[in-house]
Amino acid sequence: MKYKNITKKDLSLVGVGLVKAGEVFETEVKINNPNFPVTKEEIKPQIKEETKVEDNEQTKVENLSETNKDK
Amino acid sequence: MNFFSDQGYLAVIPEVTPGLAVIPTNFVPLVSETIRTNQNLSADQRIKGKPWGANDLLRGARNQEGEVTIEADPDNLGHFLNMLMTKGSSSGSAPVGFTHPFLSGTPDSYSMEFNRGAYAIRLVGVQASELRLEFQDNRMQVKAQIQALGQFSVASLGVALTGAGMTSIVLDDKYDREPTKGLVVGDTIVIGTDEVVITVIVDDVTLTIASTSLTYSIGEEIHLKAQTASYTGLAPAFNLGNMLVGLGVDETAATSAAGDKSTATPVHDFAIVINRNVLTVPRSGSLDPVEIKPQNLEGQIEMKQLLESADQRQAFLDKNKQALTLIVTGEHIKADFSTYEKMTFKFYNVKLTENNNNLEIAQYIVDDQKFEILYDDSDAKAISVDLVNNTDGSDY
Repeated sequence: MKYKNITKKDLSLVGVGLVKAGEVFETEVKINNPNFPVTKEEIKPQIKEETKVEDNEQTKVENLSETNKDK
Repeated sequence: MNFFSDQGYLAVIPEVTPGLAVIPTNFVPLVSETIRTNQNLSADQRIKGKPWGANDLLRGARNQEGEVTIEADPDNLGHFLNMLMTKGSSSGSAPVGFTHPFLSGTPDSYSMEFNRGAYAIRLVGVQASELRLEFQDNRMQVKAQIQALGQFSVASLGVALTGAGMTSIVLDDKYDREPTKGLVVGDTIVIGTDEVVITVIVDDVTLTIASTSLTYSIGEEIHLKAQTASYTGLAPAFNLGNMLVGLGVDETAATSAAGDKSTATPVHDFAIVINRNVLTVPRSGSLDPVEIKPQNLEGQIEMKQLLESADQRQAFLDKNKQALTLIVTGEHIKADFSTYEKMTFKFYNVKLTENNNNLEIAQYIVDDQKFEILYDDSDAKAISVDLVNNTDGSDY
C-alpha cells in the first residue's frame, strides 16, 4: 500500500522510519494515522538522485585514485 | 498476548467544538499517565430478600480525569499551556521561530488519545484543571491534571451482524445513551478479528461503514484501533541550567533582572502550579460533565535560593509585593543563532506565604520559599506567558 506524508514536517513513523514532508512511500506495514493517508500518487524517484550522488562520489574517488597514481 | 507501556503513545489536537472528537495527530512523548474513567459505581443493596447484601452495581455520576506527565519541550509544552490558558495571536515564521502568547482565560478543548495496547482510548473535551511545571534531573516536566467531557475506548455490539454486505454497526447503550461519542469519521474500529473504517456517524448509536462481510453476535467487543504513531524531530526539554529568574518591585524590574546572569537570582529548585479550580459537577444532559467551567484562578511558586541577605525575610514579614520573571531558553532556531526557543513567564504580583531559613547540620541556609501568585491591580493581570518555538500557530 502507498501512503503520503501530507504534513509540512518530516515525521518519523513507527515501524517505517523517517518520511519527509510530502513524500510518498510504499510499505507492507498497515498505517493508521491521518498524517499518512493512502494515496495513488507515484513515488518520486528519490533513489535515483541518491545514486547520482553516489556516482559523483565514486567518480571523485576514482579521480583521486588516478591523481595519486600520477603522483 | 501482553502489552508493554513503552509501545503506547499520547496524541493530542485542539477541537473546533469542545467535546466533538478530532483524530489527534500530534504525538507527544509521554512520561506517565493516570487517566481513569470514574463511574462512581455503588453496590445495589436494595432489600430483595437476598442472603447477600448486593446483587448488582448502580451507576453514579461519571467523570474522566487524571494526571499526564511529559517532558516540557518547547513545542509540546505549547499544547499543555493551550489546555490551561487562552492563546493570543501567534506571530513569526519558520526560519526565525513562532511566538505564542498565553494569558489567563478560556483555554482550547482537546481530543487526547492513548494507546493502551489492547485498545486505544480517546478523551474528548479535554482541558487542564491544574498545571505544574517542575524540574526533574534539571529537566522541566509538565504535570497536567486533566478533565474530559467523555471518552471512547471499548464498546459492545448492539445488533447482530449477519454476513455479507454489512454497512452499519449499532453500538449497545449500556455504558451511555450516546455510545458513539468520541468517535469521528475516519476512525478505524476493531470488531472481533475485523477492522472497519467509519464513513458516517449516523446518530448516537449507529455507525456506517463500507460494505463488508461481518458475522458477529450481540455483545461482541468493539474497540478503537490504535494509530501508528509519528513524531517530529524533538527538541530537548527546557533545562534549569538555561533558566534565569528575576525578582523586582514590579514586572519591568523583574524582567530586567532576568535578562542577565549578573542580575538574576540563582535558584536551586523551582516549580510553578497554576490551578483553574474547574467545576465539573454532574447536571442534566449527559452522564459525563456537560461542561468544564473554570472558577477562581490561583497559583503558587515554590523556590529555593541560598540565603544571601535578610531581604526575603523582610518581604515575607511585611507581606511586600514582588514581581517575578522567569526566562528559560532552549536551542537556537535561526541558522545564524540569533533566535532561540524560549519561554517567558511573568508574574506581576507575588507575595511570600512561606519563607523558611531552617538550620540543618552541614547545610547552607536557604530561603525555602512559597509565593502566592496574585492579581496586580496596576498591571491589570496576574501572569502572562510567551513561548517561542518551531511550531506553527495553526497547530495550537
